Amino acid sequence: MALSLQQLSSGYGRLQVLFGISLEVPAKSIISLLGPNGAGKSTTLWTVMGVVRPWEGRILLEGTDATRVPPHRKVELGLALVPEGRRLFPEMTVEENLLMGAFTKRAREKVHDTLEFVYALFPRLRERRRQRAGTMSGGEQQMLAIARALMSRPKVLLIDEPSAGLAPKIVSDLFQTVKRLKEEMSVLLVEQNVAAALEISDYSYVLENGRIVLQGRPEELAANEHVKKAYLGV
Amino acid sequence: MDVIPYFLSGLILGSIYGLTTLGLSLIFGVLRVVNVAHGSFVMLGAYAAYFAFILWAWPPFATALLAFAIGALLGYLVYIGVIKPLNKAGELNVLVALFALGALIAEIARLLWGPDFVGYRWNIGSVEVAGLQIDISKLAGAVLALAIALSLDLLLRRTYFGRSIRAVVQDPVGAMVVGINVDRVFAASAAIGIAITTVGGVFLTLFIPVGINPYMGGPYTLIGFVIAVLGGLGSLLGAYTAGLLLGVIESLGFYAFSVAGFAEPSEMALFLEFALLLLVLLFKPTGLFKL
Repeated sequence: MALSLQQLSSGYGRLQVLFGISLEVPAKSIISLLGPNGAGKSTTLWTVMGVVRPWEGRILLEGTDATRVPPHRKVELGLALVPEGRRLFPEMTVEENLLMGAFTKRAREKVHDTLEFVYALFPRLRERRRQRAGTMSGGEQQMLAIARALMSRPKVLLIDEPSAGLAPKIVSDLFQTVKRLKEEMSVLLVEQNVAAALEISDYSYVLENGRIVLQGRPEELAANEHVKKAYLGV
Repeated sequence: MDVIPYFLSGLILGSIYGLTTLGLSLIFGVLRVVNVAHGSFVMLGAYAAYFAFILWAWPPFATALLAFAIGALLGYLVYIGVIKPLNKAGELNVLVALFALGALIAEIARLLWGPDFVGYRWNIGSVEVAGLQIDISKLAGAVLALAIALSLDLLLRRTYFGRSIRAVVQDPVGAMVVGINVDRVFAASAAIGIAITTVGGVFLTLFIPVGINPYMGGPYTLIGFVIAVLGGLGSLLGAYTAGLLLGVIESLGFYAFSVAGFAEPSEMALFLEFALLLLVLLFKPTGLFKL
């Protein structure tokens, strides 16, 4: 298993957000975590990354306990996060942002190869490489955020709401690119756009009020009455 | 009387002002903390220059290295002991604690070294520039200050370590997720920031032959704020350039007010600086050199 969460709980201050979440991300698969606003999807990713401290439970990265590992060490171990709001370095150029993505020692050694790989994946970024990140369109910034995370050569990529604020055409292009990543790594995708996420997922979990309430293969979830009513609008 | 000598000596003093403010600006840019203890570290640097000179006959530029090491150690301790534990409690707590720390350092200095003004004179000759006799020591100090400012800027632009500092300035969360140890960047920035402030204090003694005193820091904290705001808080070359500008304004202001027959021309020059600060805050609060 590339990543597994066992009975993970966490929150902010005294406010508990996650109540014993368990999920598994097998190697070379796309797993999606779906659910409404405020369910704890982003908190799950922040907790996995170590930015939010886990209260209980365990985080295993390729079978090794990484529950208390700080974020910068997690990146070294092969975990990368494309955060909500993208969190790019706005004053740096596209290429400088990408080079920052290869900050860890492991990634630095192969930075030229990786750069070619992400430019091949997102040719638009190659065209824009001298442009300042803060001046790009939302879709381009999202590409850059994913590309920057790829620069660390992750084994598990966590992506938070890549579709947020983007036009449907751009979302579907972006999701096709994410699908291609499966050949190289595992992806844990957090999404509110349930229909788009189910299309590229191998397996999905539904999170509500900090608990996993449903899980299954995409076709099972798409046929589920609750999912249909609450998330697919049919 | 000619304006040019005043302009030149303003530039030379301004270079030192710029240097002392780099640290303040770096700490604000990275940690989002206003170092209100700034002046006390300037004072420590000044005492280091004084004691090293009278005890061991060290030239101030040699003392600068020692001051950098002392400042870096103190800066690291300030981060670990004050900024880090209090940051979660809110900005105001850090501000008040740093203010107290600044006062504490000044009082300890008074206990150890007494309240009197001390000073030294390091005379290595002078050169004539545009009809003005300029001490070589001051000129060298100004040039070295410029060199330090440029090297720091280069360090931030060209090295992985420097880039990690810039990344934290632009987006700390983004920095964390690319694998930067943000806590270490904070500690290093506090250490380098206060180290440079202390070095600035050493250089400053070239200009104040009898002005070293435990409480000398206060005005430099104020001047530091003016410069940092003029340059745009967090912008290093902006801070240095604003330092130059302030030195020139101070010097030319002094000239203008003396010609106009004011009784306290240097006080009036100080007034001019704060008037400028007020205007910049009113009309261009992001600083003169930042878009």
